[in-house]
Amino acid sequence: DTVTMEEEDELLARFYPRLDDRATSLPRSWSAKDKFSLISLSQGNLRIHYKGAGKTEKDAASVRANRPIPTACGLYYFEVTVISKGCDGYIGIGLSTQAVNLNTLPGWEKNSFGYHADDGHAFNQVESGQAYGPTFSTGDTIGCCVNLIENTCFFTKNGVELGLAFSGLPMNLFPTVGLQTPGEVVEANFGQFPFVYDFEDLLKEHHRKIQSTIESFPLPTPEGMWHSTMQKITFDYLIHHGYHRTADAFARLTGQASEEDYSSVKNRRKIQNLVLDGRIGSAIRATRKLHPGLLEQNPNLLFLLRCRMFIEMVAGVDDIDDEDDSPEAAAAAAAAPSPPFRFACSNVEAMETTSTPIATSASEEKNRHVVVSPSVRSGRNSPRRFASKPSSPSQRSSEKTVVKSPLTILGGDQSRTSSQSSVNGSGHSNGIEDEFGVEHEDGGVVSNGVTGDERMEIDGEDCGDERLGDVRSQEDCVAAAQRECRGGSLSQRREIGDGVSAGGTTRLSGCRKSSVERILQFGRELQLLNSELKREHGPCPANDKLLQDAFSLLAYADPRSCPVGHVLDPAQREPVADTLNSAILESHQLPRQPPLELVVQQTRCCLRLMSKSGLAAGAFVS
Amino acid sequence: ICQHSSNADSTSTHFVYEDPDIIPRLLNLLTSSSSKSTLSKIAQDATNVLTCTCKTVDHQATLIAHGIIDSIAPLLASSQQRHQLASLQCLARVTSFNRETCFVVAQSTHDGRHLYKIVIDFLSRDNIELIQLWAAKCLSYLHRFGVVTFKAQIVIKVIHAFVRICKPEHSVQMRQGAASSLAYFIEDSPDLQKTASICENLVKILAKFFACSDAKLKQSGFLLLSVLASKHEHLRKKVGGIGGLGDHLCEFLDSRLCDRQEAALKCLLSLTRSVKQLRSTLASVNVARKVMNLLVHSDNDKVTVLASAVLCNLLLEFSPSKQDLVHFGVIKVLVDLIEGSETAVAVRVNAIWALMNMSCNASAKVRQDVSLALGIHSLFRLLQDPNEEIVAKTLGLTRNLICDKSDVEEVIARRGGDLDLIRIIKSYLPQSEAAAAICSDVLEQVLCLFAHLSSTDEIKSVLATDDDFVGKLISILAIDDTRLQIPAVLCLSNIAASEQFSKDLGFNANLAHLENLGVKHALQKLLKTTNSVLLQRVNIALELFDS
Repeated sequence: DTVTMEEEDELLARFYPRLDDRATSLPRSWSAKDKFSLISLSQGNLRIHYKGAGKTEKDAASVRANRPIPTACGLYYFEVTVISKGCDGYIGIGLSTQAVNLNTLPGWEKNSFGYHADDGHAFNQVESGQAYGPTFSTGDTIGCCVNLIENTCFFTKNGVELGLAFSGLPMNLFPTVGLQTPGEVVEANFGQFPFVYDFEDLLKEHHRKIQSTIESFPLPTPEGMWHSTMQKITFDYLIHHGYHRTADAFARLTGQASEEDYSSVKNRRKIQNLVLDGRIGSAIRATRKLHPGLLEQNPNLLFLLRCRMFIEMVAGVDDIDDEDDSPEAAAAAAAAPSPPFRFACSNVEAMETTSTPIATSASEEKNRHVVVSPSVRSGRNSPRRFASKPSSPSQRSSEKTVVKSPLTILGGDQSRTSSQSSVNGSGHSNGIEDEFGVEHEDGGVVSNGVTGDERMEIDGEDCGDERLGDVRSQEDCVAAAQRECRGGSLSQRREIGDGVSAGGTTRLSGCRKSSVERILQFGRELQLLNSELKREHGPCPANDKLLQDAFSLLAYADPRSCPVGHVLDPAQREPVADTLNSAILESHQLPRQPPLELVVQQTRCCLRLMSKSGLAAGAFVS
Repeated sequence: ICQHSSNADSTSTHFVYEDPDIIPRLLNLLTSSSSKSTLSKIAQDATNVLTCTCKTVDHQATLIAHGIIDSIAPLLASSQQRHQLASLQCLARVTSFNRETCFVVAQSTHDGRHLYKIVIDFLSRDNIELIQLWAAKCLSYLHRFGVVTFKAQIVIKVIHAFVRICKPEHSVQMRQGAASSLAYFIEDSPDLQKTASICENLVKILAKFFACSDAKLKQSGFLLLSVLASKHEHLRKKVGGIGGLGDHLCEFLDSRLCDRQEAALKCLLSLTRSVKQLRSTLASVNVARKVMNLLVHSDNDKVTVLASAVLCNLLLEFSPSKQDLVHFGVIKVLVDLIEGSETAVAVRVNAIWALMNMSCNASAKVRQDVSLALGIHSLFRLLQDPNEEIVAKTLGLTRNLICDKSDVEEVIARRGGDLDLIRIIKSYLPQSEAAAAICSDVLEQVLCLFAHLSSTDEIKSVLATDDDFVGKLISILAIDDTRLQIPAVLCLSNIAASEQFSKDLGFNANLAHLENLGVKHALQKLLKTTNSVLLQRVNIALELFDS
């Protein structure tokens, strides 16, 4: 009979998926305080016993649940089983607001509503009821369902719906039960046990109906125009994230045109891929070449990238020196058609040989011990967004998964890389020189006039973080699906995972002293950069936190299982890649966020607002 | 073909089944195209053709024999709503009112899963109501024929689906279909009738059927109400409480269409089982005369059987309609039906039953009218009818007609009728105990009639000297059925007391003779009975022997 909180939550989550804090907002038991003296509770405050004389109506006694029904539920349901009808079975089941006198049966007074066992009548804030349903007695289970959209209520008996009982219900009602004669015992189920009535099926119906209302909602614009708007939004999303081949195919079918050059889109995608692969150094290099001045104007972005680079170094994925013969690179080369390492190298070579203005930066890159840019320009903004990031729910859930099975996740990341390159679909050795060449010219022309302050405003929005998490997780699903289609074997992924994790720990335990020294050296430079930023722009707790988390990794023998181990999760690269992508777009006077994501954000805000304003229909929108 | 199939001439599409090639080809369209989206419309259309042309039990069997179940299973499992709907409708048509096809469907599987379980999934409320309706219909047939035993939750879901679809927000056709199907689903189960009645206050939902001008909707409403009111008195009260129900009933009774007359009569039959309804809802409107007219004028057997059954109830002792009906000449109508050579057996039984009901505790005038109209010879002929039900009802009628001494004397006065009557009814006494237990209905009436008859001195003396008769009564006392024992004891005490008042010398001799036959002994055995009426009778009888 014992049900753990987790199991309870799981059951309740099925009924109220959109409710924010199920643990604290739903009624879970009868209130030990909000009850009349003639009532006693047992069985974890779920069972109610009448212990009075029970002679007249004056002996009636009620109890309310510990919390009111949250409006955001949409539909709320609880059940009460009659354990014993006692002397006369004068039992009332229903709802009341907090202010209602408890020395009555539910339904007798204002703001009180009840269905009574002895006559089957429904009492709507009056002392005489109206014929409603059958009578009920020992062994019967009565359910009460509140519709918070229409403010109505119906009851069930042993799983059968009895039809509308009350309408025009007030807000903030508590589940309420009243007893009146000796020996009466009832027990409630607030959803912690399976219901007799198929409540879930009812929810499905509401879900279907709301969905069809949305689908058939008349639009003010002509139908054709709506269609092309949808296509534009879809196209912009593909362009934003750099899925240029898909975008190209989509454009050919729908006649969309991009404001941005395809090669520029490709390059953005490649930089993102570098970040997602953990090759942050290469990503910085590529960004410098293709978008000169960008990182200088966004010192906080550069700091973010460097912190990530430090983390990847600790993980053994990134290093200051290119090491083509490192075990990770070999494993990556075996798994993915486009090994990131080689990409990075050929990149450097290409730029060295083709254009002179890059030569200096290329040589700088070659000697990558000198990472701190000497010319950090001012900018008051700080990427607060990333400091708050790990607290968002989706982030937390992915952390959990990592802790449980790090191997799978690492492997998954590896395969995602390969699937992303398959989305891009370009042969690497082939396209790179041209693309970077073209891109470089563009980069010379484009000036970055957008200040970071605007960005901060957008980031400060309620939903920014959540949006990121969700869109990402959708992509992960796509990646996972693609992974399956490609038939990547589990054993192969496992190998890669093992290699990486082993590499990370060996290095830290001192087998390769030089690399630890390099990490420490890099860390010192990072700290220096942080102090510089502080000097110029004042204290920035977000950057401090980034640095602290990154440095903490060094304090543990096995960084993966340490308290800040979650920062090693490859999924944490995604916000970094996204921020970089947005900054690049912004520097080209393009929106830093695709319209599709804005629409999703806006919809979420709207749903949240509906929930706050007591518009419960939002509960059935997914 | 689908358009054609709804024409008045229902045989116009039979050709589909007459040509042996057509069905296999249609089925082939289902299987060959169900996986390809371009052809899916064809599969849907072919399914619809099969559905709308399947009109007889033979058609159903033909489709099953050609493997229709395997052909539509993939459509049923399809994710497309129109496929699901078409295949559910087809499945419902194939299984409708047919135990054999239901049995086949119950055994069928698709991808290792029972087909009916796939159908159960369609009851889920995330499906549109039309799909829920047809899924529930399919399950109704399987349930009624008992080929699948469903869990209580599933049964409740079927009822829920039907009841929801009866609500006014759905189309008239859907409401009508849901009401008729629900009536069928719960028809033979008083428990399910109770469940359905509490479901969303079904009677209130049905009341709205009559606010609508659509006759077919009302017709299905009457059918469902008749089922709901068939067993439970509290539901008869609810149904009778529907505003204007009597007027709607009259409207349908006046209709020329048999289906409508039938629906109204079924509803009336359920309601007339309630004394309260006879005295309230039904007393205020002139249904009695309309029912009598239907009985006289209709040539539809279903209608006349129902009308005669309703009339039986309307002629009950406490029915306010009784007087009116007598006034309208119901006795002659009933007697004509009884004697008519064309009359269906069920109607004759009901007609005799109706006479029996109306003569129960009736005034001497009414009894006399019935006796005269029917005539003693008819009565005797009916008593010798080969149909047991007719005999039982005629015995009951006879008993009601001669309920006091003067009646008996009157019968006897007519040309030695007493002896004829005794001879006839004696033939219904059983030859053995086993036989007695079988035809207890008739025997009960026979014994009651003997108890009546033995209250007159003349018949008493005849019976008292009949050792065979006394022996049979003794053997009946041994049957553990108070319905038989009470009249048998009554009869024996009448015989025993035959000469008591005459103070004749033969009195004691008579008692001694009966004692010798074992009467006293048999009565003493009954002293152990728990039935107080019987015990009282036994004590009275034994007193005679002891005095």
